[in-house]
Amino acid sequence: MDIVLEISKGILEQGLIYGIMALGVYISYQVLDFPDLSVDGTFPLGAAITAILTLRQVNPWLASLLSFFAGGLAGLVTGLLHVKLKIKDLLSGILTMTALWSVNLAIAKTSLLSTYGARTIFNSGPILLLPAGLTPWRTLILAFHLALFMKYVLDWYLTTRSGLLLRAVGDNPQLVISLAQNPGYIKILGLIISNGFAALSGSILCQQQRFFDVNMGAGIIVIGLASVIIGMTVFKNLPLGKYTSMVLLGSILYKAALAIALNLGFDPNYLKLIMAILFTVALVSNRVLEKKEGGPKGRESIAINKY
Amino acid sequence: MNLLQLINIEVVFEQNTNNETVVFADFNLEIKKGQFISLVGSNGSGKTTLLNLIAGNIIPTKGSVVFAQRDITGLKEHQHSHFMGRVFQDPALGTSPSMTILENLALAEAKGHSFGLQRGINKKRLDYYKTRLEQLQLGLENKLQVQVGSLSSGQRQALALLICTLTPIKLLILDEHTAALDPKTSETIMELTDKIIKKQGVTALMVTHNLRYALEYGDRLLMLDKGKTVIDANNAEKDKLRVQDLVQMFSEFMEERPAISNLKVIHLAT
Repeated sequence: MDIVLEISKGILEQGLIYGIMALGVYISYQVLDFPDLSVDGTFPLGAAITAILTLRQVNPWLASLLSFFAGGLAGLVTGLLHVKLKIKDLLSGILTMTALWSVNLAIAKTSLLSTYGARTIFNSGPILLLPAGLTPWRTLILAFHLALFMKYVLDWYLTTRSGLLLRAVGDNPQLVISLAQNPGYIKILGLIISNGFAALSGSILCQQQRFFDVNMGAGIIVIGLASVIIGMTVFKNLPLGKYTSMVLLGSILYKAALAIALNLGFDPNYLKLIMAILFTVALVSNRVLEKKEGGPKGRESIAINKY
Repeated sequence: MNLLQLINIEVVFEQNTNNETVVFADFNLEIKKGQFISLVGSNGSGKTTLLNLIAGNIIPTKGSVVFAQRDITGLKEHQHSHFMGRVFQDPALGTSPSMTILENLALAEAKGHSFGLQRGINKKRLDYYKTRLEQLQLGLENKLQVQVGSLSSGQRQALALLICTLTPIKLLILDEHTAALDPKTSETIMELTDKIIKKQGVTALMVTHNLRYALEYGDRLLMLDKGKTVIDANNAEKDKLRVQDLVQMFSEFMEERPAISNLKVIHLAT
């Protein structure tokens, strides 16, 4: 029983922390309709910055915030490559992702950096105010509140004028032009926010697992996309309110599916293979379910507002 | 007073290649404030290019576009949107499908203001939106929270028209905006368009393949062929024209140019 509890706790912690990154992928993939691979680089970017800063006694909350901004900066680069230099969306992301590999190594100065002993948001500051009995649950409680906070910030943003415009640009760039706004700038803004979320997620993960690994970004986009698509497929017809909630739940569900697969005795070397298979299943079932409902494809089929 | 002047316009596509196409060579046009112009012409006559020129989608290789005494040649398309609106043939281009009617209208009303972190929807404006939607007479006033993607093409086009004219514009460009609709809906949208144009007194330029609409609506009729104005009829002259006259002209151009046989002289029914 203890083992089941321990595994569930791990799944929830990981699901929520990666969920923040999935919220970022939700912005780029779902709202902006921009397949952005930069997150494979911005996620470890957040981790690298956090590792270096926390090892130098910088306040971990400040390190998290700076990670968010660094991610946003990388998103800006992807956006500029796409909008100003007219490079295709997929390629712009690949370029940023590739460049960030070196940037991350340059920041961390090594491919694997332990932050053991450093102050993190999980072992210092407000979290210490929790009663001693809850100590084993600290990580989960904080991860839960952070994920929820980021979700609410995003929900709020998407109802502001700027947020409405962001949703419009993914839906119909021509409408944005008709509103006398430059759709390119709006796209760049979306990529900044999206990659900020990814880097913050990487920062939090680094603090939770207490190390930075230059490889920790490999396949992050798959986790993010799978979370978005699983969440929006599985929970579409449940009264869960907003898409952002579904994305967070999708992230937890995805981590759970992976954990189950590994606990069934699959070799961890096959992790990425299992990830890809799970993702394929999610994509195909998404389409099959849509066909059953008989509706037109994708976003059009959704009749009520869940933003 | 002239609202829009096209002066010595030249548009060449794929210049200095084997596919070089001259759409306009020394083309001139003046549109007076308050005019409602119907623009007809066969495919390839330059109608769409003309609209794109005015909307800022295409920059002329030579010549200038003057709008309200200001040279706007070379301004970006979204900068043109500050003073003009365009309704497209495809109803999907005028609205955001995943957003509700309310959100679409809120965005439309924000045009010309800053798009910052202020609340997207101002609840105090709901009654105003409802009044405007009622004028469309399509029952949309009770569907504020419905996603636009689930509306019919006709409803979406009516909404696109409203979005376009919700904030003051000086020129309304109608780009075959009834062509994708069934005859009855097309009729409704056309009447609605006329009503809005008259009520707001906005200058309008309408491209249509429906020759009856071209004659029935508006106060000036232009026919383009090979980048030249072949008919420019004002009120009195326009009243004398019949659909048959226009069809006759079309077929004459066709004979001169048998290669282009897919003339869209359709929609002649009642």
